[in-house]
Amino acid sequence: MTGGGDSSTRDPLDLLVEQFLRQRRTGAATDVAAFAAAHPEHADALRDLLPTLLALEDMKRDRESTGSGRRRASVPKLDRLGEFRIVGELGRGGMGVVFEAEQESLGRRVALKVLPQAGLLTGNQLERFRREAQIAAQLHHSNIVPVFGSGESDGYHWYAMQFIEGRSLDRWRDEQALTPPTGSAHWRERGRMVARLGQQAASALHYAHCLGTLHRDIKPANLLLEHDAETPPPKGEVRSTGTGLGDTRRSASASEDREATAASSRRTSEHLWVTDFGLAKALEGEGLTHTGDLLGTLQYMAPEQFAGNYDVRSEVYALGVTLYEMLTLRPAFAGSSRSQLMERIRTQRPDALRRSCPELPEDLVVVVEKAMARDPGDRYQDAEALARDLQAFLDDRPIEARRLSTARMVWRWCRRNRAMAALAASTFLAVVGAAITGWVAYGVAGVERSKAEVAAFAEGQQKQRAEANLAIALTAFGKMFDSLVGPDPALALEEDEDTGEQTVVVRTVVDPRHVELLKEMLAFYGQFAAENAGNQTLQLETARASRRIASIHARLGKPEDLDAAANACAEALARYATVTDRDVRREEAAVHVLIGQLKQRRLRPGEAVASFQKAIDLLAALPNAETKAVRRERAEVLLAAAQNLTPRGRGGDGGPRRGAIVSELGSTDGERERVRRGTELLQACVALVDTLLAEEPHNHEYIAMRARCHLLTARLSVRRSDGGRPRPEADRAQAEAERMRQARVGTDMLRQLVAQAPQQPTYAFEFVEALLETLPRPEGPGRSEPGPPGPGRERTRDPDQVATRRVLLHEAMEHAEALFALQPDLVEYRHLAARVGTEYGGTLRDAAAFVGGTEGAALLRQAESALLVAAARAAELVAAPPAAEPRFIELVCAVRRELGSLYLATDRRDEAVAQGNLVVDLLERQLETLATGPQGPVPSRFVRMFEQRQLIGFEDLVMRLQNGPLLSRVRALRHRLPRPEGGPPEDRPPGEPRRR
Amino acid sequence: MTERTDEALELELRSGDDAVLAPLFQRYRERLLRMVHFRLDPRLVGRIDAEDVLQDSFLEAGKRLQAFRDDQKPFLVWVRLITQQTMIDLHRKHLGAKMRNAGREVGAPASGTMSGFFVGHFTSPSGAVMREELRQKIEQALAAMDAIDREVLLLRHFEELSNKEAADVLGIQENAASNRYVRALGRLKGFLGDLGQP
Repeated sequence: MTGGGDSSTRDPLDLLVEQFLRQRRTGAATDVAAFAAAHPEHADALRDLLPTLLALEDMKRDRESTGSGRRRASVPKLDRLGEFRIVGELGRGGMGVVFEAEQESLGRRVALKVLPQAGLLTGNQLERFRREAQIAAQLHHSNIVPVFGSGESDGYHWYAMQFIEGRSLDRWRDEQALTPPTGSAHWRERGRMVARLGQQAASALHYAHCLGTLHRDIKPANLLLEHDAETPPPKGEVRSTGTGLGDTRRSASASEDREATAASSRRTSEHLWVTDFGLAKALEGEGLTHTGDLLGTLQYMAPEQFAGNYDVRSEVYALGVTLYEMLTLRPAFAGSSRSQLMERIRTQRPDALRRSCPELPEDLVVVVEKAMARDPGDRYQDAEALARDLQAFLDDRPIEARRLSTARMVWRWCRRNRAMAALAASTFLAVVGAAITGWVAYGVAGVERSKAEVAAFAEGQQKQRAEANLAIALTAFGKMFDSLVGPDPALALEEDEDTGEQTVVVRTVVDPRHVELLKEMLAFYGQFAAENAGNQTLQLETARASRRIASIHARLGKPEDLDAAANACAEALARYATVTDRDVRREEAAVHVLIGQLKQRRLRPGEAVASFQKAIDLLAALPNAETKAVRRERAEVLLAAAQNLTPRGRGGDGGPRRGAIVSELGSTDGERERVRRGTELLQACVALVDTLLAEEPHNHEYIAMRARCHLLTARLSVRRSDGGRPRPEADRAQAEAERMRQARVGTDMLRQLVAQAPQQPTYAFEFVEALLETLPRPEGPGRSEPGPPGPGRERTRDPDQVATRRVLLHEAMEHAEALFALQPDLVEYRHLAARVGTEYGGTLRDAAAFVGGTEGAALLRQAESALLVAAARAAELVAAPPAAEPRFIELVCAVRRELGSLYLATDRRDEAVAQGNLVVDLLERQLETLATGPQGPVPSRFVRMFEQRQLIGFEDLVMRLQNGPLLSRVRALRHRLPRPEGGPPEDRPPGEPRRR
Repeated sequence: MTERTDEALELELRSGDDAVLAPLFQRYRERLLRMVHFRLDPRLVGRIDAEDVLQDSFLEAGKRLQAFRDDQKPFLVWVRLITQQTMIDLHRKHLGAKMRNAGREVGAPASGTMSGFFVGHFTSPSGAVMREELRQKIEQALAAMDAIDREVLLLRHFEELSNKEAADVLGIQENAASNRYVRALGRLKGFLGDLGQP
């Protein structure tokens, strides 16, 4: 370390302090008194300051070191305390000292826990200590150490309980470690013993839980193993109470211990006592529970405790970890520092029991591992369930945990980590496959066997089990399927403002990591459908398999997949037709909806509507068509159909389009027809939703549907026109006003819904999208689709409009951020957050233009932050190969352009140029991928994006930057674009936006 | 090879020998590590490794050597700034818009983190009691302290910088830094003193 500059300018005390510290840090012996004496002129000040300094050093070290910084309680040796005659000290630690004592008035032996005298306990804590002692005194269970009472004598607070002859489980564990089990008989005996202890502890806990008392510090040291009354402890064996201190005095020699162990292993009636109920809670700091601080001993703490959650399942966990330790004789989790230990508990699994103790009975392994599952939902939900299963194990009955464990385990695994699911898939498929094979095989073999009438009862059971297994496996697999692929993708039809060309954006994007898994699922369902085609019983499952095949293909989304999806749909329909169950009609309708969506993606809205109509008719013809559930489904399909006919965007009102209209119904007549049909469907939907709402006005889902209807009405209102012909200005203004009105009603409904059902993220998602749609847009024709302002359209700087946008976007920002924080991995949430951030940043930049001065500068800084964050998120959207979705690329371009303009406005030209280069980098990379990828020719939308939307807006910036290298890069980029059918790209200098 | 002083290495680096960056950075590694360790947002502990931050910072320093030569900041001050920027970027990346004003927040540890640091940890419940009381007191004392005093204390104590280095980092005179340090120690004394006694 470098020395400290010119000494004469320094506080002399500082120099001495530094010298002292340096000595200390190099490990030299440091003594405050001696050091002070050596510097008499500053002795007083040094004596004053150095202890503080040492304390700081200790704390710093303490923070890095392990968690064993136990402080000794300051209780001196005592001979008596009140009516207690102290016989001996059993142990001491942070909580106080435990004495063996005689309560003379009653002539009984007690374990007396004495708290330190120090004034560390506030009145409040003492009050709680007494209260907890009282509560503990009311627990009467054969496995809970009875508490006789508590009180205060000679300035000490004490707590008297029954004296237990025996030792705590941590001691027992240490003894066992001396004689590791050899051979499976020995392991089995150990396992049964631990199970017996666990069963007693769990039933004690359950009893206390039923009375509303949590132990809060379950660990080996608080579980006492009593010596059998008939087998007195060997001479010298320690009598111990549960002290939680772990270092009870002992004088027994190792050999005597071994004898004791051997004796105890012969017994089968060990008695276990749980001690120190609620004591941890009584002694915790007043503020700790509020601040979510951690209690108990770290090693046995459940992961959720680190988040401040604690309930009976946390105690199930602690007991599970304790049992694990008793079996393996080493802690489930260990770490060299507190933070490391916490991290391990939160994120890792202990070594599998099966590996540490391969000879342990299988069922016991399952029980203990279930008790200590990381996710509370995967554990036994109360101590009783754990006690029951341990008893079942001891009785050699089948345990509860085992029945569902395989399917549940895989399911949980998938839920927790979808990426992992890909790895799990093969395993899981094997499991499901085995279940099905078992079931089918049984069906065949069963015929033979039933002739022989062998064990009819057992067979019935076996058959049931096989069927149950199959059902569980298929359900679990179905769940995994749903979780991975989500509901059928919501489609958003978008219309290009300039050309009227429509594009379908599939909103639920398949994570590339999942593609492999989806393909595996595809193989599984394919095989399932093929093998069981002739099996009558499995007909329905086979139809469902076909439907899922279609669903998967629809998500994989390549052109050939869309064909395959359509085929699978047809197969599914054929199979459904053979099943007469009327509930199946609803699934059949879902297939028609899927077909409709497939047509929609091929931009055949007419055919799509026909398919939707089939689904609607099927549902309406059901005998239970008027039940709430079916009405709701009908309304959903109607809405989907209407949405299919109504792209986002306002293609109809913007005057003549330049491009040709390519879609099937894209002609002017088609447009009019489409609007008419959409309106019709929507009205039918509204009628249904209104009946639902009349019955259940507060049903969130119905309200959400009504809100969606309003939003769609808003979109339709500006389309309800005479197709492509320009409208009179007044007409347009009126339509726009109607649009805003409807959109606001819908948005307000969603806003309330979000407030009422904050746990439902989809509402928040829709709300933010709706907010974006109701944003006041710059004048002139514009897409209602939120996004960057279009080419050649510089943002208006109307102060009122900017202010409104700022308020709305602020609100949108909050919700979008919350969603993103909730599930940062979800592409749609990330996209939404980045979109809102881009708009928000841009609006703040606009706002800054009106205020100027320091306030303006502050706004610009805020704008920059928002944009930088949005840019980082948008960048991740396009980071993963292969070719990114166009809407993501557009978003990156938009946010970089905003940033560039902002930098330009604040005289940070270099940074602006850097943003420009980043955009060009991205476009080059994308072009490269598209040109070399298997997708074939560069999609025309991408070319147009270059040509019309992004580059031109971007070139405005590039032009203003006047940066030579960047200009030429942009120019080169454009020349690399494939020529669209309309001829070569116009060779105009960048920066001359196309005027129209 | 003879052992050259930090100053000699710094001079060589400034005069154009790029190869000196690695050994020089290595000498400051411990101090930078302490800085990262201490100033990392608690939410990121476990997600970001301090070593990774340093690695990124080192790469970044390599790119910006010219800036080091252009302005005459001492090496430590310069490299600390780079490390700080790396942390800001990482905070942004990981915490997203929760840290929209990341630049302000990073490097000025929240007082909660800080008092937690001072208090260390105790595992026993009675330790927890003490800890909580102490934490509250320290929080009050830190809150009452002048911001630069507090920073001097942190730099000198937790990052183990010398007085000169601390003064350089804060851009204040050495004697001022020195006086502030002693003053800050005095302030803390009141409630840490009795703990220091074994």
